Amino acid sequence: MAEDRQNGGKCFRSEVHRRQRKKNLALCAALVGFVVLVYFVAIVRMGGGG
Amino acid sequence: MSDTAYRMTASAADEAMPFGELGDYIALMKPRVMSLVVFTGLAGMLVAPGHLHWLLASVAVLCIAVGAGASGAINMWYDRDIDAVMERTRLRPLPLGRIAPEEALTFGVVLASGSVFLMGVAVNWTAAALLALTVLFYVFVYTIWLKRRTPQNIVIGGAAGAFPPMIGWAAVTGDVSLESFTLFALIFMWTPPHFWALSLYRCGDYAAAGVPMLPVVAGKAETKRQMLIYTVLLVPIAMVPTLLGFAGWVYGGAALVLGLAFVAAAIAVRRDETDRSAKRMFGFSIFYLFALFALLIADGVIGSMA
Repeated sequence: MAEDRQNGGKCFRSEVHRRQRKKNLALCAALVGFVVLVYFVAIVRMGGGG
Repeated sequence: MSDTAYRMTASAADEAMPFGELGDYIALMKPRVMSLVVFTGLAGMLVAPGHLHWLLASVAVLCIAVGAGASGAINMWYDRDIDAVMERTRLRPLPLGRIAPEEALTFGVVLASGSVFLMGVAVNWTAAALLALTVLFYVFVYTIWLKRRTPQNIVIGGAAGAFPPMIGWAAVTGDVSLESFTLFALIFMWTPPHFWALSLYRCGDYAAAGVPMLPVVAGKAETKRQMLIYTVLLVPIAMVPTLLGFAGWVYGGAALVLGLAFVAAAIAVRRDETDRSAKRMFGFSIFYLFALFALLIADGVIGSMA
């Protein structure tokens, strides 16, 4: 993997890796957003707001 | 690995593996359909009697949107063969090979399950059950069972698009009532003339794909006749919210005027041998539903403030 990233001090990442990384970041953001949302929903419901 | 070898391997991988951009996943969720679904679902919530915390209301809208998007993704997975043939759909992510079929299916199933679960946990299980029913109806009844078998596909299948205001209503009240069923009936009756207007000028597309839309099976004259019947029936149905008392007379008056304009559009389509009136009617049908539900929302908001 190290050779994938490093070559002559430059960072080479194929189009596939670039897209995959973007997709992983979007998935990560969606999961974090989901967790935060469930947290606040729980707060509201426990407070009798529902 | 040398630089050249790495680039060659990466390039081969690029060609072999369909890695869509974020925009492809959004396209998979049919955002234009989603916007209408969200809007009608929101209207159901705002018209319903009762109160829902703003965060839970936002979660309900999000779940309706994601559930609808998930149905769209599963629909695109199943219909990828005919989508590739039809002019209107051939640039979707699956026919273009930008997303792998199994990835689209997983995406849809995960989002559908997640949205139903979140709706149940955050809002209530009646709304969650209706959302699940909507997704299952769209996928199994419309997409898999009816779409390729009968010209009544969008008549019965249209129920899937009619559920969102019922879900919105159930999110607030926790039940299904005559009032929410009226909103369902309104979209249910609106769907056939809306889709048949489109299929009148796209019937070559549907014929090539083997989809038995009414103009393909029964001809344009019969389609136009049925469109007129549905638009005429829609006029009194759109007045029911006023008659039942959950919308005011401003809405009622506007619904009557809009309904008559819709009937006039259907008459124009019947008289017109070209596709021009059908295109105009398709555009007007979208405006009609948006305007009707916008009036319902305005009525509900003004009513709750008074």
